[in-house]
Amino acid sequence: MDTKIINRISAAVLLVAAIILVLMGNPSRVILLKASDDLGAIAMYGEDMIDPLVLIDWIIGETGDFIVVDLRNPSDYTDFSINGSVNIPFASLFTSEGFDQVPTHLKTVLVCEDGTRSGQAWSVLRIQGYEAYILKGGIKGWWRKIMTPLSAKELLLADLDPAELSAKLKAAREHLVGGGAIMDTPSEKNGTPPPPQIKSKPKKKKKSGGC
Amino acid sequence: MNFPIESTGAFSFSTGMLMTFLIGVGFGFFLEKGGFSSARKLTAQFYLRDFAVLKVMFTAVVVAGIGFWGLVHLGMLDLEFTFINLTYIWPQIVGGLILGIGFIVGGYCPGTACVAATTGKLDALWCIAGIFFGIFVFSELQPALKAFQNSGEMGEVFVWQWLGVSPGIVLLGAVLMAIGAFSLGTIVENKKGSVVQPD
Repeated sequence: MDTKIINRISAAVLLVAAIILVLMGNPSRVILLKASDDLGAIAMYGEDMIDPLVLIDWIIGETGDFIVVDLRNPSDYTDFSINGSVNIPFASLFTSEGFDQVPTHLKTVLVCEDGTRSGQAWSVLRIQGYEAYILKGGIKGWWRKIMTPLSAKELLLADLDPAELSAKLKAAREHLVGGGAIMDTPSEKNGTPPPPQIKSKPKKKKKSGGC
Repeated sequence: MNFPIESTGAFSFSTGMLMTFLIGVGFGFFLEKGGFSSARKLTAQFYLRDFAVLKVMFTAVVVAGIGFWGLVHLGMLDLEFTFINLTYIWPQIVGGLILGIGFIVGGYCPGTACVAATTGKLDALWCIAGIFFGIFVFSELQPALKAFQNSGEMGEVFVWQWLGVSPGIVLLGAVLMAIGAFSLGTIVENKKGSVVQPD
């Protein structure tokens, strides 16, 4: 075939392809890339983390401007989870269906076992424009700081007044599991929290009935 | 199938390296076949006598752009796994000018110098030696040039983001520019006489 004709056909194909792309508009999930140092600065000043004590304030305050996303496996999530959290396993988050489950207009608190996976998911969500936070210490941190009574030493080392902190945590536990509940606390001998063992009641019952 | 292939995790590192090697072999083969190992043919571009470089490179940009955004639209390419160079506008403008001058003076760009060197061209070997020497000099001067090297940072930015339009508009503009440039190039080539034959 004549070179001229081939050139013209090629040009026409490219032109049609470009016009089709114009008509398709922006891809549904185009990453809004930010300067990488923005994320670095947020992480450096610890603004990427949220302490369990702050999260419990949000939960009790029922501010309604946040969502807790649990990135663990469904079986771990069923074993124990934070009230009102949504389970989107880490692997599922990085799909268009997974992202669609995370509302863009809410603050997103990411929870995993110990904060590692949350850190990875945090970077991706932040790059995509989500206001995401990592729950400090993950579900272990939550269990350790909120669900189990702190030792006298830990209470003294805390920023808050020990009595105030103790009362706050007691109120938090009552809010989460129902009035007067006493949790089965794991051994705290070496200070490292074992993975949560208790089987919590189904979440719906928690709110209304208690233990 | 998803792209880039590494993102699927289905290939080992060594398989990835093998694929990279094969793509490199193909790239080198076609550069040589297109006559791009000839300094005479490459520099003829700058004397408006042969527009092969413009035609090949611009076609590659447009085809790759359409393929890239087409795959993104089809959900087959995840931008998260692609690498985008950070934009440092001032050093990149200066770097581009230096590359352009080096291209005309040396007769090769870095890639074509490698292709020509494999065919045993002595000028290409000297060009590669110059590239390494330039890298060495820059590395030695880097502490002093650091402030300039990091100036004008714009982050990871696409042209369409910068212009505030959709990727398709930029691609359409690029295709129209390419078609215009190719037609104009051919007219100039015909006026100036025959295209340069590679040596």
